[in-house]
Amino acid sequence: MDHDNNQDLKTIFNHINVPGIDVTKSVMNQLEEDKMNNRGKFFAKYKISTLVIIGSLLVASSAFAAAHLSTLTNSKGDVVYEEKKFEKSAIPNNTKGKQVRSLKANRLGQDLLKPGQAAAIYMAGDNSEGELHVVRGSRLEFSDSASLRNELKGSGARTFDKLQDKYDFVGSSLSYYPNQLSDQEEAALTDQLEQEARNSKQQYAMKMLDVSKENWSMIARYKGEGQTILVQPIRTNNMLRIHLAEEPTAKTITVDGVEMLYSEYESGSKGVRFIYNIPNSDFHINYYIEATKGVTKDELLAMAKAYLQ
Amino acid sequence: MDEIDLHQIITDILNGDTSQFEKLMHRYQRQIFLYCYHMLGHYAEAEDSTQEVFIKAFRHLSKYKLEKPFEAWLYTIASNNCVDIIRKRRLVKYLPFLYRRDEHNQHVDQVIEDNYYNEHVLRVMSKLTPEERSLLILRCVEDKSYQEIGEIMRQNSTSLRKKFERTAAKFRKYHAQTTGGLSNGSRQQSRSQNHI
Repeated sequence: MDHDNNQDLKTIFNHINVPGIDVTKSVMNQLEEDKMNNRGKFFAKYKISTLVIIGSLLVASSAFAAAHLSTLTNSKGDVVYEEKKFEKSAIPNNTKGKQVRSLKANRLGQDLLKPGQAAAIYMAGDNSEGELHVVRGSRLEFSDSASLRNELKGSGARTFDKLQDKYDFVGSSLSYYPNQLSDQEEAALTDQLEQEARNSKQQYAMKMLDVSKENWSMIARYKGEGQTILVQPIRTNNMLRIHLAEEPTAKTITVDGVEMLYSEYESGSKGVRFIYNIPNSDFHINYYIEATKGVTKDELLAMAKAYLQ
Repeated sequence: MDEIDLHQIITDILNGDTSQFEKLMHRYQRQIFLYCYHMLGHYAEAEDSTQEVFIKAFRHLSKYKLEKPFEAWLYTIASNNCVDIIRKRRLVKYLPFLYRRDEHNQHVDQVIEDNYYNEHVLRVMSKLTPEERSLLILRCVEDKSYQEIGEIMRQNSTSLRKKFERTAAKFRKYHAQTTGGLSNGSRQQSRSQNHI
């Protein structure tokens, strides 16, 4: 007997409106405290990766063949991607105040900027503390591959309606990075905005930055036969470094003459990373493709090859 | 919040943008709290438990697997957390000299509000195992399908259907005994904070 779809039980449990709660503030405070105490664990080993652009190219040398580094090079032989275990020295002088200001600056970016926009925000702290932060608005969303293809026209990136004839495009989000500031530009902007920030009530000052659409990162999602594939290209002319909580375990493989980093994870999902060199350009695209466990290694590598054509 | 947004938010969090975690909290905390409230039968404990669930979710976010719905993963953490709390209650029941609730220092209104909304339901729930409780709440309060519950409780949906039918029958039997035929929806004020 189904008791009318268990309506009697639903009535008992849903008869009253339970007053709501909001534990957001207490949780976020705890997380902030954790972050201070466990800074090294914060850069967890993650399967979906976005990277910190550090803005310099390193020449490949035997030093980077060390076991604790995984790297990829561009067509000129420059190391353009590096994966290593997180070290505290990677983020010097990262005080609690600085981290809190960084979080606030990012929040302001999300609140004040439109999708695709970027700005520099100077956050003033106590005494003479304070920094310039580059922040972005939320991502541009695309629900169909044709719109995405149109947006990325001329960028060198490929956009497929389907992968392997069975995984359909489901959606994507795209984030543009602002044009990089030279040291002089950054110094001048810092001086200007610091003065404005310290003279203001809210203790921050913002200036919009140009976004040339040369540098961007994107996630595109494909689904089919109960599997999910994420394709994450990053278009840049800089080196990208990813920090992991543990030593990198990706294996270097060669597919049709192209060096790739291949990983398999405990869950059974797998990922591959490789560089596509854009012809006649200083820019390249760092592709990372990850698939759930029902997708075979061969299929994954076939997808990678499709992006290199 | 669709799945693309969710994956992007998770990516951002893992990349160091902790502030994005607030978006996840705004989206899911109400339903997680309701689940804890019905599991634990106590408002304040449910509030604490909700907090713990989200802190644990953040700390283990790198272990979240793409192929499982994020909501199911969160409910699994909530379920495990509530079961731990219920087990600890049973333990301290036998150690009364070590455990004292600070009831006497609480304002009267707060004491009443902390109590579960229906004492009869509370008593009946105390006769169910944590697993039975969870199943009942997920089905009757959260309105989850057996497949969704299967993902949360990591069990086969067919066997869950049978378990639910047995649990529902058990609940109805005890509820009828406890209420002696009183209206199911009547609000009851508890005089004590007895719960297990």
